[in-house]
Amino acid sequence: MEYGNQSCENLLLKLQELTFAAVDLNLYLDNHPENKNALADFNAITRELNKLKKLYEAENGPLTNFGCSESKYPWEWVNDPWPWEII
Amino acid sequence: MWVYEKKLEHPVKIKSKDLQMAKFLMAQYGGPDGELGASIRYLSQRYTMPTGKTKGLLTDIGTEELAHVEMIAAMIYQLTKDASPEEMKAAGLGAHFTEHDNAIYPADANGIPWTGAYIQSIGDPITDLTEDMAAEVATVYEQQCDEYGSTRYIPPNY
Amino acid sequence: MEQDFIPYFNPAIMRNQKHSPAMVMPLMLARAYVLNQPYTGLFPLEKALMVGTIFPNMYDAFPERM
Repeated sequence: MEYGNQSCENLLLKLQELTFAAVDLNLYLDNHPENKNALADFNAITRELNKLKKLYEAENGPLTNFGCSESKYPWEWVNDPWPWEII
Repeated sequence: MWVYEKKLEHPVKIKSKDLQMAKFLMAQYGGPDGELGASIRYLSQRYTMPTGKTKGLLTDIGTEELAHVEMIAAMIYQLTKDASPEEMKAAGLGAHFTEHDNAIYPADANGIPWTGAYIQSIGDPITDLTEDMAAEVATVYEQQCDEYGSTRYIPPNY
Repeated sequence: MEQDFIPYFNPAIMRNQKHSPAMVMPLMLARAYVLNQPYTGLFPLEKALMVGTIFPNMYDAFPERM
């Protein structure tokens, strides 16, 4: 899927949709570790999510703290807006 | 160990103030059936669960509930942003304003601060899981949906 | 403690059987049970985020009060 031309807002929404699916599948797999279909879906969503996160972070700085994402100079983690300010 | 992801789990884009709704949403934040309680409950119970699956499950649910706490706080923040003291007083939030200004504080709709007394973590897995199921029934949400109509909970302009 | 734990009903056991779990494992009084959730596929992700679950068999829209 091509996301290069998507606006920042759409990319964030896509990340939220994928993360939500990953969370729900994670919970399902906690109860059904032997379900191959669920695991395959989870891994596909995770791969897609990681791809989009790299794209998002290239534009907007690190999504996660404490060593999960690198930052450009100057330290981008402290940039605004924060999630509750994005209206 | 927890890391933080700098995005909300679900968009919260409230364009206009609604202090009445903010007051009722506090129940979801710091109330006995709120997300903060849910999160601390799961994250406390997980230590004495007997299987990897239950430890994983409670860790994951507790972590997701923290994301819900964030969303409720974001909603209250946006609903009360730039509210004047007079508006807060008219909405019955005068006392809240005195104590906290427009800040987010974990208390219920009546201003009673969140307390560990709202949760139980007893160490017997059946008892703990049964308490979790009782808490998840979410009657508070249904009552708020009845009060406000369920479509109000979908972020406007979404 | 482990012997009091309600066993997880592995779907692999059910695969070739026609009976529901209630018939194979008799239910006891004064116990809470959680049914096994079959994996039947997912909602499209845009819809899933809107309705609050990715699983069609978990979706239960809140009825508007008349």
